[in-house]
Amino acid sequence: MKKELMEILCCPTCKSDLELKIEKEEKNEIIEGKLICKKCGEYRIEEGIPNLLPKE
Amino acid sequence: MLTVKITKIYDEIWARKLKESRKVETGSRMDIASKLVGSGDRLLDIGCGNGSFATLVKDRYKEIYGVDLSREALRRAQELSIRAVKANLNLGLPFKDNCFDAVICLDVIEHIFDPRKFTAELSRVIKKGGILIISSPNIQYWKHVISIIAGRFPKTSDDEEAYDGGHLHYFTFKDLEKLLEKNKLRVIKKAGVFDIKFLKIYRSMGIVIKARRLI
Repeated sequence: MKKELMEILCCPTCKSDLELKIEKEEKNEIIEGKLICKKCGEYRIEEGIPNLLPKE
Repeated sequence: MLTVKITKIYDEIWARKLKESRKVETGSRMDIASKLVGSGDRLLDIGCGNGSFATLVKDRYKEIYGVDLSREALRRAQELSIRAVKANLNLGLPFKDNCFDAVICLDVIEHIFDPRKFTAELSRVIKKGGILIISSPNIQYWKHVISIIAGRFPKTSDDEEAYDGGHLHYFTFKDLEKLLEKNKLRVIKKAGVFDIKFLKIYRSMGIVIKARRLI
């Protein structure tokens, strides 16, 4: 995913802003990482796709 | 657990559909929607699948975003430079308010548990003055009316993976219009997906509506 996505992404549950933690980046694309919501927990970025499914 | 089960159903559907091309037929809902969507900066395709719709509008929008539950579908969408996001549409959209110039939602709303909550979410992420193009099968389609008279519930989907393609709700033009108007979305254009051209719009196979987000 591109960093610019952070301008529009939010937590699907509480709509709060997310904090980005990059684990692997290639050619301006975040391949692996985390999106952290302070209230609801973490979401993974896997193979360049942010997975915003809430934990059940 | 429920999300896991739903994800599995859509991954199975997409494992089969991946063999299909992205070709869009003239007169289909995607073709009609592409003619109604105009141009702008950011477009969001809800239930983007393999990204077929993006191929029609990539020269008219600077950034195209796609959201889907199926990882298989999102991988294919990424090949077209769509900014892919995995989310469960039943649980709210992972986007901030007033983000998009246009939102496309083609044959998705009939799969959602709560269309009222979902429509409110669509309205929330569209910029004021921005547009929504939404489609759904039309339960008033002439063949469906004949089915009911003949004592059979209409078959509204060709997908085999779930009962009637996993459709949970059925709409007429009036139903969908009412839902949009209740969520600050003014209907500005209605179109039908036709199998027989001379029919009235309310007997068409599919509903396509363009609505504008009120300021």
